[in-house]
Amino acid sequence: MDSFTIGVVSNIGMMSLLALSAYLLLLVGEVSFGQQAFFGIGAYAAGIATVLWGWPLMAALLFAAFCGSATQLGVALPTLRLRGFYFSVATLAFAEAVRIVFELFRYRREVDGGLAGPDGEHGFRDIRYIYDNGIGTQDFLVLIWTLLVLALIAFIVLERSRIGPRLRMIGEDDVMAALNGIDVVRCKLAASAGAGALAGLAGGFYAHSVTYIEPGVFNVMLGVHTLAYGLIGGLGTAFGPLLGVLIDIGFLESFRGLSQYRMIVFGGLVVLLLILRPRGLLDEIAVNRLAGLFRRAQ
Amino acid sequence: MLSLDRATLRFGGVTVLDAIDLHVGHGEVLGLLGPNGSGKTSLINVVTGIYPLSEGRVLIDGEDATFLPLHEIVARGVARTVQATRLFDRLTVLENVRPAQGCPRVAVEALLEKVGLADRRHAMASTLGFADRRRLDLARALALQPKLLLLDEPASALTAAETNAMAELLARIALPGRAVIVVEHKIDLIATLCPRAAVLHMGRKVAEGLPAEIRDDDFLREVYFGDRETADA
Amino acid sequence: MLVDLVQNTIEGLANGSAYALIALGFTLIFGVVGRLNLAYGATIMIGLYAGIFVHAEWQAGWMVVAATTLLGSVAAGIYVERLCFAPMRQGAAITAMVASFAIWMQLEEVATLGLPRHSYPFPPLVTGPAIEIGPFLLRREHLFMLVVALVVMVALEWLVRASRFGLALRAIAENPRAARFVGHNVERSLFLAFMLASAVGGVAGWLIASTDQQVTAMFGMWATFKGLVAAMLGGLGSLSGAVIGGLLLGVVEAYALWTFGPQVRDLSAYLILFLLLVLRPGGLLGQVHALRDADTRRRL
Repeated sequence: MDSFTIGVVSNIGMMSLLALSAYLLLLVGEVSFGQQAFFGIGAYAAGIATVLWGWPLMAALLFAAFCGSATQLGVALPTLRLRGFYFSVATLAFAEAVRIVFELFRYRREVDGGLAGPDGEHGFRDIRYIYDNGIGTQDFLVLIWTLLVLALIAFIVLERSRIGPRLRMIGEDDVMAALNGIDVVRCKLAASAGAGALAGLAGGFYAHSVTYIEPGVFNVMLGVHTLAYGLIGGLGTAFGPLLGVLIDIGFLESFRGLSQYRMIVFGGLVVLLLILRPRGLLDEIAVNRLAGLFRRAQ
Repeated sequence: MLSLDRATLRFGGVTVLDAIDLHVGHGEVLGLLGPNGSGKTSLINVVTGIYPLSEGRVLIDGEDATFLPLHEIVARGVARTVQATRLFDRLTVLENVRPAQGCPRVAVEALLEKVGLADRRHAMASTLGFADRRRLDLARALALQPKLLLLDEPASALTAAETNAMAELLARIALPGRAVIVVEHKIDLIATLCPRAAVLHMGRKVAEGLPAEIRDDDFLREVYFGDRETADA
Repeated sequence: MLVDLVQNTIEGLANGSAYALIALGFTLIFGVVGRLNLAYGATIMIGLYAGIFVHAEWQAGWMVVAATTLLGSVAAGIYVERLCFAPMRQGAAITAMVASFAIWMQLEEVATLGLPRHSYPFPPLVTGPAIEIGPFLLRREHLFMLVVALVVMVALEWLVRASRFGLALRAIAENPRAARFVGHNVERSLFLAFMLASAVGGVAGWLIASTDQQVTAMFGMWATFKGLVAAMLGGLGSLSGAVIGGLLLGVVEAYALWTFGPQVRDLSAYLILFLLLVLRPGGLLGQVHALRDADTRRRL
């Protein structure tokens, strides 16, 4: 595989993990405009761990997932009781606050004879773990996709068990869900912790993939994309957000000349689908039909 | 099983429930009658924990359940159906029933069989017709294995034939072996299913006794029959 | 020390009137349709960029620029309304909000594609030396902006309370279905309300740009967040709240800027918003807004 393709496929993998984090919250009916914050927190956490603390990669990635999960849980505790769009605005405010904190965040240490670490608005350079340790970009790609596949398997298992329908019940009608004996608050908090872990992990991968992260990346536009992947691809299955990522990055790569118009097209696509097909392309009805076909074929 | 002790519910300036005393023993079936706005649905809402009482208590199996969260009340054996049926349209028939805690797959399948929806278990709930939605709602509530089942106007907007079918279904699978409160307009349905009934009027309990007595009482006729009951009969 | 305090307050009120003007449009839309228009700042930006265009390409005078800005904002506002709000009346409020979120990004991209530089000059409106009151300085443009903000607020209040259009809007805000029964043309009234809010936004944007004498590519982002915080601070749906919220935000920011610097200034706005939502979502003047329609039951 040439390095360009590796880059694209790695990108798809990382963005899919991020898309799944927004999707998990959408399942329980929460619209988060701020997953990019936990993505960023994971990126910085993993970078600091490998560059400044000398941790091995796997530990750093675990740390990234943990930080993402803990902070998302921390934000969820006071905000989940807010109705509908107040929660969404809170996630937006939080994400922008985090972005500015990154611009102010300085944590520099001497490493191998030079200063390294996050340097405020100048970003965090030289997160070169995979290069310094002989891990090829292709191996890294395999690692990203292994974890993505594991995440997808986890989602599939969830959907087939009772937990998936329980989450969807909360997403559709949380009062009726409670009347069915579901502890809505606890489930939403669990979903938040999971979403934060996915976003943080994606961030950890991102930091090591691009080796240089800066606060400006974790902005509102990334938040729109993260949310849009599930909304376009579909909320009926975990493969929906994946489809959304493929559509976005596939479009981007196929029509390189039109890449300037990416947001125009993407934004328009989101709205179009919200009007015509609010649950996305692979919505519950489509998934039900596909499952029916599969069953009949057996 | 269930005791309401001077249960009072006020919204703003309106008293929806006024010092209601009610008892339902284990395995007992109680009918609840009353015109629109008399507080029947509010009573169910209070028992299931949707509204907190302004005064008084709700006791479930002797335990004070007045301020318990909804899912805790369900855990103590209370389930309800909803008059304007609220199912999970984005889930299949099976998925609407399956998530119930402590109900194994086999029992879920059996329930669907009993309400006659087993052959459509993989259909989306949104595709069901009105009467089928009622039956799914019943299956969903029964899957929670309630010791107290609250049926909120199970026959409303059903035709005479559908009402009879529902009554038969309820008598067969819903009522036996558990405490039930049946809220209904249709006094004949109550008479068929419930050995005892209470009447609510403007938030107060105004009568309690045998349905036949209630039906024949003049005062209650006046209170009651300015209502669509006569149209339904 | 006292001089600094008062001067900061003056600066704060000056910036705050800009926020107030933007917040008025936000809160007007929310008060009428019960939904948050996250594309609002971007529509103002489109108007401004249209104004910049006629100024840069055709050397248009300030009146043409002002008119273009206004028309551009209104046109963009119509686009947003037709796309994100009109088709979503039946759905959950959050759906319209997500749609406006996407269109916000779309419009920003359109603007920056059309005029790619980071900043553009904008014709000034009021020039002249700053007014001196003792040791304090007050720029004429800021005073003008504050006056306009108050005038617009009063005008809108009058419109909402005393005019037939305002009556229609209040009826619709209270109960859209009933309003329809009574004979109000709901679609048309909502459309007009949106246009009005966009026009207010256009005026706001034009005043701000004339005062700063420039427009940067960050305008859309800036206007959206500041306007949103100001409107929520005062309580969504309250016109006087929008103004109070804007002025308050301006003053808080002035102190944050003076004490810590520009990043903390921006940070304080977001923190205020976050804390506000957690502690008192209704804002200073509002009660917790009970979301209308079946929002408590419906999602995306």
